[in-house]
Amino acid sequence: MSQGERFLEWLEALKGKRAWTPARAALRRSLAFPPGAYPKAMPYVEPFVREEGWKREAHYLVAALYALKDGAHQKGRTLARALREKAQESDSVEKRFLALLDADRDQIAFRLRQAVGLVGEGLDFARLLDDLLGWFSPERRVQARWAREFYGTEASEEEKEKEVEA
Amino acid sequence: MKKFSLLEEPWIPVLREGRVEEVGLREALLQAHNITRIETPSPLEEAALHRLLLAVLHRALMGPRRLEDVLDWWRAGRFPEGPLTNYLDRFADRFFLFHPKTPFFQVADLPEENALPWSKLLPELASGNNPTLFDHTTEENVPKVAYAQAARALLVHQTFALGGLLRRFGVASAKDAPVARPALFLPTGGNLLETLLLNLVPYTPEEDAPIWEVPPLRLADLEGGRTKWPIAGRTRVYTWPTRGVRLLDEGGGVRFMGYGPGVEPLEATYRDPMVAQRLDSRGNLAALRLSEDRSFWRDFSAMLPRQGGKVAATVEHAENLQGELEDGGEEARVALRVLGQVSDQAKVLDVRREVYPLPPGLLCPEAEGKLEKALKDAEELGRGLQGLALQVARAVVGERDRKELTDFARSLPLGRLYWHALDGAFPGFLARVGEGEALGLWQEALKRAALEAWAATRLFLGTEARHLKAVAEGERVLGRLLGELKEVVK
Repeated sequence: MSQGERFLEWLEALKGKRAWTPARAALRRSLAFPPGAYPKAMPYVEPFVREEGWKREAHYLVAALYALKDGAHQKGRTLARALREKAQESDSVEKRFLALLDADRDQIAFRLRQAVGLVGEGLDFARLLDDLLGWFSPERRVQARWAREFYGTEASEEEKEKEVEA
Repeated sequence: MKKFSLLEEPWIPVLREGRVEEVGLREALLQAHNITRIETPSPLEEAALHRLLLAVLHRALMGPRRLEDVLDWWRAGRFPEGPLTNYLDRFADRFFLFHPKTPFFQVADLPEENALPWSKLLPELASGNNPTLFDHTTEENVPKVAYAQAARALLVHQTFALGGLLRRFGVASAKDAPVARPALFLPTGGNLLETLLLNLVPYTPEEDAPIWEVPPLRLADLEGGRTKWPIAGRTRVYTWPTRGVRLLDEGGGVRFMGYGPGVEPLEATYRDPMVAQRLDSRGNLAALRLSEDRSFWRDFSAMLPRQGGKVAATVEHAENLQGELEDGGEEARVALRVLGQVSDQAKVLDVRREVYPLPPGLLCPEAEGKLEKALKDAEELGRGLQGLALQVARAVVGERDRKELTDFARSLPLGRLYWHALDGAFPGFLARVGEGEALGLWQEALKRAALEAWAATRLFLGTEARHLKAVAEGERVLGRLLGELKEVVK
């Protein structure tokens, strides 16, 4: 089971509880702050994270986006694919998508929030976390796969294997 | 004074029992069965030396009249010694590199004034208006060369000299040697005897004479372009006096030469046995040439009858000989050497030697059809990749500057690597062209070549969003191109 899938289980469990309403509010509110810097969101994420730095921030970011979508998880519907559907209707979507691919650590939270806000329905949040964890690797395989998903080509088996190894 | 007999002195580089050595003409022919091959780094020298040996054989043996003669010699394992020796003895006086009246392939009375450095004989060497591509000799410091090398250079020059400005002895510009520009096809066997037999295309000795059987040319014959011969007669063309040359002996070597016009060629209906033809864009038969930016094999099917071309007579002869031998339960392994220079007007751009297998049964409609289909697939995929490179370039640099766009597309390794991989794969395909699965294997090779070239191209691009976009879109196109390859032969 990947880190993303484990974290999704954790979030789904959170959603099943009565405390979901205040949790959701806190997590959404956290989007106005740098990831992991809003104290009220901490009880909902901190017990799960082990790592420091970007990896910790990625968990906060995904939790907040999950809350933004009210927990609408949809397995297999990645952000790139969802944006691709949206791009049929509007030309500006591609520009935002390309900007998202080039986002550095300062920009990524803002651009992700924008992108997620753009698409309707649910997303695969497990996959999103896994992808964000590998976002800053120098080979940029995640971004390459997102581009393939967006422009309608799927990765070859060989490419997928390489990404797993990395 | 007579000096340096090309019949007796060593000057032809050969490989014998694993060692490279030089032999005279007489030994090369009489010992051909013990010699592996002529061994020289220069493709032009290789072609010119073979043509000289073939000319001597045709005349000494007065044939072969029929394929059966060649088969007899093949089975005897050597050339008939009597006729060869008699012939060489008879013309021995015409084979001296230095001779007061009849220096080999030269003009005895060319003046020594206005001598040129010997290096002008070799297109590979920089001199005159040849680009300094292969060599950095300059005309100020001409090194002295040994007689053997001077003799080979002379032979190469007479066979391959390109036309151009001359301005000597009343002749403004000189013409091409008869085979200066076409690709020459030289099938080769297991030893020099086999190689010569594979190229000894049946021949009618009447109305033909090599340079040593006719009266020696004098300066007076060549002044003002006075002597014109029709390009006709096999050994005459094999030993065509393209230029007047007189090597000047400095004792132990040659540094300079007298130089002037040669015999002017007049068009005739002669076809050189080593030359292939293809239909040109206007539907005329034209000699097949090597081209600068592509390997010869990409034109392989253009010379086949299906596309209206004509293979070289040497290739057809080698195929016939191979067939006869197979019928007799013998086997002949034949490789095809394609030799020649790539030229642009008076400039030599490249000198080439490409080696391919010559599988038995290549010249049948079925094999031709497969070959044609294979090359068509390769070209179509190649064109597709070219389009792909342009598309990737457009995604990266945009459409604003057309030149920047095409330059960037050309800088991508996509096409180069693709063709390079196929250069390596083609001989294997050709060797198996008669087998059922050959075309399927070739298409696999095409796919592999395209995918590998693409993988390298991807590394070449950056990982910014626009690059990733270009790659993603490119992959979709590549998938479509590869899907279009289908194994159909009609």
